[in-house]
Amino acid sequence: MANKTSLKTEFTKGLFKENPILVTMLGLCPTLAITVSLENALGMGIAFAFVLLMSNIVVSLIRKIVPSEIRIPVYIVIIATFVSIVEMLMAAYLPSLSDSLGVFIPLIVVNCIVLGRAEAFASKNGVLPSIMDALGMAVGYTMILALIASIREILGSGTLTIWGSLVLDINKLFGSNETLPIFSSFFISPAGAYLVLGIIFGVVATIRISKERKQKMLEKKAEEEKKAKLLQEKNNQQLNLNKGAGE
Amino acid sequence: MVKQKAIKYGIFLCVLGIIVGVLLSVVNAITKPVIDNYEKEKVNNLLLDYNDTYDWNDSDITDSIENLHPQILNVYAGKLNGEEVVRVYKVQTTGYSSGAIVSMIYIENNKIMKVSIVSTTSQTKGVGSKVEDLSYLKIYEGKSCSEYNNDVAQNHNNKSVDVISGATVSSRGVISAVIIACTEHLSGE
Repeated sequence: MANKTSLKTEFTKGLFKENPILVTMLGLCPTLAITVSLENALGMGIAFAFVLLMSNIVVSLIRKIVPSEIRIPVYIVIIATFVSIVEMLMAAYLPSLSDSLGVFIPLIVVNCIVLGRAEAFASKNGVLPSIMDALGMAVGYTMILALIASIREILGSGTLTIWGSLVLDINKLFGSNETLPIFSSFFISPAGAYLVLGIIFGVVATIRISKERKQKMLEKKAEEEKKAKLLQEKNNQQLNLNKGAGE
Repeated sequence: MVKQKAIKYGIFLCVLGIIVGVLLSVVNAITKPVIDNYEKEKVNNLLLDYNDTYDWNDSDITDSIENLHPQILNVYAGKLNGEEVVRVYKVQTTGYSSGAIVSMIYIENNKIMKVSIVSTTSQTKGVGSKVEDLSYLKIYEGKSCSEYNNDVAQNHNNKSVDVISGATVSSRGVISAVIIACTEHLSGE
């Protein structure tokens, strides 16, 4: 029975430690393509979360009755079903978002993160850990999508829009009704997506390396202290022995 | 043994397929009327945007036209004082990366009056979406339909004109739509 601590670990690992974009570097194609606006990123995140959560639940529930030889086609059918459902729901109730995300909603079927979590986690674990895993991965994925989209939207047009309403307009803050020359549509283009993603990867790698170095230094320091302590104890013992022999 | 396994797997996949089919048809039954309504509303708005003095009630005449080009999705007829004055063709063509462009071509007295885009899918953002640019779509306005007849289009090298730089394939999708609509319109005359 999964306890609270392990459930929490299953959730938090997807946020940073095993973040699907930053660490495992999966699902980069939609990450680069749809992050032209924060609205798109959040919409994609919601669709992705629904598909991942539902497929993890179903795969986990039927894991004991699925023959291992045909597990991959079964997982694909399950994932495709939920993608079709989310596609129909979006087209019906969020048509503008559905139009702007276009082909990237049906493409969730072949998103390596969803199939990866079904194969690597949900097929080997119970329903509750699978739910937590899906939620963690979905939040981690959406968080990074939103970060990239916000950077690209701000640098590209100086504005930030969510659900059709403008939440930030840097151009107006500087008293301009037009896009300021410091903002370039380059960041909205695919090349801009690569650049922003590359910089984020670079920053994350730098943080991770410095953390690892710090950890190594701490370990080395602890080892040296341990060695010094042992040497000190040995010296004390020798001193005591010498004292005893002298008396 | 192998045969038994194959049958077992086959039955498993069939059962899964049936369950999935039922689930999807239920969701489709719920969402289809909403999607159809939205599409209808979108087209109605475009028709009214073209000319709100025309009568667009029961304007969909698709079923009454025989041997319609397969890429023409719908045909609408706008009326004024009970007489048909404009015919609108809703055409689906292919843009970049096999993405579909659905456009509406408004023809009055064999002249192209307007071209508008209903939807584009999988067009490269910022490049392919240039086809929705009004100034680009305006180049067709006022041109005679015979200029875009299929036979004329085949004889003339239309590759050099009417194509947006950087969105070549996408704008070719719009040209194809105009040619299809004009050819259909002239054949029905």
